[in-house]
Amino acid sequence: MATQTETSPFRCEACDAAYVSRVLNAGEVECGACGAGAEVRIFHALLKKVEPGAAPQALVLDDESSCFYHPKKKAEIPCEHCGRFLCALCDIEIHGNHLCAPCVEAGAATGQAEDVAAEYVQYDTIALSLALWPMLFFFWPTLFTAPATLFFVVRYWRRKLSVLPRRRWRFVVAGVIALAQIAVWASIFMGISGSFLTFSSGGAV
Amino acid sequence: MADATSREATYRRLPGRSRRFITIADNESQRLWLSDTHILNLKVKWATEQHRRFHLNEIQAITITQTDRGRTQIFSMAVLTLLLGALGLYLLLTYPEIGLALAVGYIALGVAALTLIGLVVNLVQGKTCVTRIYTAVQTEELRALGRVRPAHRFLEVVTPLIEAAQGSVSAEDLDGLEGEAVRASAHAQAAGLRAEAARIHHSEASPHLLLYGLFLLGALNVGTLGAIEYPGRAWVDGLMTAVLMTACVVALVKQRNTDLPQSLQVLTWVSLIVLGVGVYIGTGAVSFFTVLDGGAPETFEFNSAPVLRITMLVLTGVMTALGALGIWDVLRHRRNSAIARTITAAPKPVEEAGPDA
Repeated sequence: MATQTETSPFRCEACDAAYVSRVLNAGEVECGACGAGAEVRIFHALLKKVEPGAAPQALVLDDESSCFYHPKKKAEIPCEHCGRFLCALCDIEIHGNHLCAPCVEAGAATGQAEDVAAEYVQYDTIALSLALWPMLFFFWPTLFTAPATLFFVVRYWRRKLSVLPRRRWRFVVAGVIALAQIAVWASIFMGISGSFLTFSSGGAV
Repeated sequence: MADATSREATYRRLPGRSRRFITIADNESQRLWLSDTHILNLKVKWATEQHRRFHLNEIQAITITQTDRGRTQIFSMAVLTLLLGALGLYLLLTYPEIGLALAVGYIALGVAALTLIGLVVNLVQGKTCVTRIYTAVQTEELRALGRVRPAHRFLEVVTPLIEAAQGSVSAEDLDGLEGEAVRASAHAQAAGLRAEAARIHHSEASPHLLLYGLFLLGALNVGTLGAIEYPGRAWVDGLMTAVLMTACVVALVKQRNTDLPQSLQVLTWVSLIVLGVGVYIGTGAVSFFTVLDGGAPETFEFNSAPVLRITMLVLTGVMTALGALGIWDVLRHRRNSAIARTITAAPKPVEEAGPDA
């Protein structure tokens, strides 16, 4: 058994001293060095031994197809998107589909492979901001932002916006506000053009 | 491909939330969500969402360490509220007929009200902490758990689920863990910590000690304004301000990537703000009160504006408090570093006593 002062791999954030092992799973304790309150909860995964890597890959023979990315490795499966042959190492399985790393990366970047994306752009927030912010200062920028808002609403309506389920109410509100702004501008332009026509015809009806 | 919505995990919200609003373009919020299999750390910066999953069966440890950040924030907000409140009230009561004074007074009171709200919110939220989650290959700070209370509620919720996924750690496991097993199984995170430690170097905080020493000297200088006059006083005041500003900037530059406690680092930024306010009062406010009193700037006498005297006295108090607090924090850091070095140092082998001993 170890002594009470044996250090653990965890460190105090306040003074950077390693916690001694007796603080592990001991509830709320104090750092022995600086006295800062701390709690270190450890779990069974910490006890797991590091597993060795995957079994060696089969090498390609003369009459066999090889992996596109590893010419010396035997091809196991084709990429379902680009068709390149892949060895077991290069095969990425996502929901039953076998893909290569570049296809996964390209899909994630363009939003086609939404399930593997680690980042989402919330286009509904952008659309709502575009619809609301210009109205807080002056109305005239809405001449440009209202069509831009509608573009975002239509273009990205079906795009996955978050890893969490997210409703589309922002898109709806942004679209309604943008349509209202366009209606206001249309009435202004119609009013101006009506005045102009009246003026050019000498005011005669 | 199958329908994506059918594969969406159901999430429930976990305690804790962080929100940082520095500028419109640089606001960031973090929240934690729990599914059947993992914890999701969701970071939203303006309109971009990033997430990281921590599977319940891979989490090795969660650590919560209390920090002084909240205390420093409360101190700074209290000082700002007092200063601005006093200034606003004085202006409204002394110069009720002058529009400029009323405007500045109301603005000062408005800002004081905002800092007061921040102070109350800070007090209600409770003690601050840093929470980290460890897996075999990564260590992540959970900014959503920056307060002790939600951090403990989070632990209460996730601990049974993690233990259900992994099995609980028994007393025998802990005994074994205290030995070689810890070092063997946690080598990945230890390597990560070493890499992190390599980027962060130790500092004895000498520039900070100098800065806060100068702060005490500066407080003495400001406190005697209008009371003790001598030839070249204006030059000494200006030189003192310049030296303090320089020392503050040097301390700010030197504290980057060091092991200095967060409280000391924040205190140095607060010092810069206090110095800025001091310089503003020393230059702009003199002209301001001269205009309010209807005189020309060159005819201004320090004692003719009582509010300026009061403000200078408050500033003296703040500078003294900052100087004392800073020196205390530097000395505490040095003591903690010395203790930490002693604790983490490998024990030296005990030399056996010779026959003469």
